[in-house]
Amino acid sequence: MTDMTDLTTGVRRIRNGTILTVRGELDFHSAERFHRALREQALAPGEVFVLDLGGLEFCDSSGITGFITARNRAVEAGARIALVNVPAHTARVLDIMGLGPILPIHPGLDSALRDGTRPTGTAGA
Amino acid sequence: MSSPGAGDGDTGRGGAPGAGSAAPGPETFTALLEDSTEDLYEHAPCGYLSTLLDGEIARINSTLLGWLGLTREEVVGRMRFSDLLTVGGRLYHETHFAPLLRMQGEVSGIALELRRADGGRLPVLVTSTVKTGTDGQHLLIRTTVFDASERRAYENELLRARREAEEAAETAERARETAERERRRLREVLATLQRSLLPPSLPRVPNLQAAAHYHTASPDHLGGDFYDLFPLGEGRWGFFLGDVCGKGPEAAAVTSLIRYTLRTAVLHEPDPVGALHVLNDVLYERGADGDPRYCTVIAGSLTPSAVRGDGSPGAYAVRFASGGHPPALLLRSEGRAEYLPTPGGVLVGVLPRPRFVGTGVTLRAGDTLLLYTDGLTEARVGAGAARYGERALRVLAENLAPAGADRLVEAVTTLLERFDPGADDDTALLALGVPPHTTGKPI
Repeated sequence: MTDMTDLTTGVRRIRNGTILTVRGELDFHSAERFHRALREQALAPGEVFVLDLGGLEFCDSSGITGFITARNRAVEAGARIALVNVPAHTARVLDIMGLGPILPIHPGLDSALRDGTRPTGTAGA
Repeated sequence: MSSPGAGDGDTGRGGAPGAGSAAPGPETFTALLEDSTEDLYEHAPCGYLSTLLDGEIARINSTLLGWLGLTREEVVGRMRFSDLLTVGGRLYHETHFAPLLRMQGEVSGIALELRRADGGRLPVLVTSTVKTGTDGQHLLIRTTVFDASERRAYENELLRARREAEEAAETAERARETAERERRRLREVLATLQRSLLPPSLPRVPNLQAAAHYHTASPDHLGGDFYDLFPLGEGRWGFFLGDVCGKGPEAAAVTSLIRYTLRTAVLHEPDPVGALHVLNDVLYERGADGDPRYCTVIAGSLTPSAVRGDGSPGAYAVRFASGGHPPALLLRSEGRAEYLPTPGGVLVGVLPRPRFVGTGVTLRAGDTLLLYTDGLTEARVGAGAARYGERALRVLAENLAPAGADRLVEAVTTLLERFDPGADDDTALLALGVPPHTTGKPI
């Protein structure tokens, strides 16, 4: 394992939402970069904070901690969090950890943005 | 080179030749040449001197006199060549230079140092030849002296550069060694610290075989996995196994906190679910102060049952609760293996009032319970994204069952070592099994 892992994040603002795209490997080494990206987001009450994990190649428990931090920031701001394009492995880990209700997984952006809709992709919830 | 005068011009002792400063006759080329030869001898860019066979200086040019800071009168007929040298040079001249010259008739390019009148030293390169008569007899010695101070300075510069390069290489090598030593030391410290987070050895529990293993993925990072087995009194035992999210010293500090909290909680809370709530409160409150840390864990207790004739338990009733941890695996005495699911239990420390899920099972003779962290099931297999997975682990267990705790942990440890470097994460294993009846087949 190298000490430098590749992680890139991108931000896209849409009506009623902020989409944070996460690509590469999110682990112990890159977690701080993810947290920095989180701190840069100013979330508005009522909006949806979407983590798009479509480009996530690896995610360990440090990454899961990062998702929970993202969720806590959203809750503090009066926003809600939604995960989309979650790789099967990460979805399984989130499920085992009982995080389905805390980090709702949505099948796509439309579902994530639909206000008040129960997430359909949440395993075990 | 030809001597300036005719014949034995070298031996004009005492009679200093003309300074050659007379204006050259521009009329004839010959006159110019004649005059230039004399001038060349006196003011050549090198020193000339001629000595008798015993070393006495017979003739010396102005260049050399200038370098030495001496007058012709002080030198010619009064000093020997060796008198011009430093003590070390004189010794070398006597033991090497002169004998070699006598033997070979010529010595060239010898580095010596001349003593100057002002006490300074002049590094020179000396070449001498013996002039012989027609009958081969040695007549005198001719010597040229080159100022080598520039050259010596250049050589010194080269030497200095080489020394510096060597020193730089040495420094780099020392730095590398220091870094390597520091790295080894750090690894030792980390290994010691890691061990301090685990029980040094598992206690002996009546009629229970217990085995554990800690697999370190990287010697450079502290892992956050932990386990323990400890007495609760009245023949009951507490146990837990878990995994702190993240790694490094911060995770290790939390691991320590979790261990002590859980030991106390399992001792005082009759229900394992209650024990996890105690731990959750501690972690949740700690996280409110910044740097939140979460863990997955299975914690529980063993209560003896079916007491046998000798007073030892024939079985243990196991109660445990899970907070976001992969399901425990049970290997039955009849050769089956099954997971004991605890779905819905939440990662500990995330929510103020989470849900934890409890379950129970009775370990009878030949049954073994395996607790593991997800470093095992999430280990990468092959080059792609494939993971070892729960299904493969169940198949492995079924092939082993029935198996005692020792054999089971040994088999999984072998598997983990085969994964390397596929196992990105540390893995902890804890197996608890009741040995089969002595009449049963050996396992």
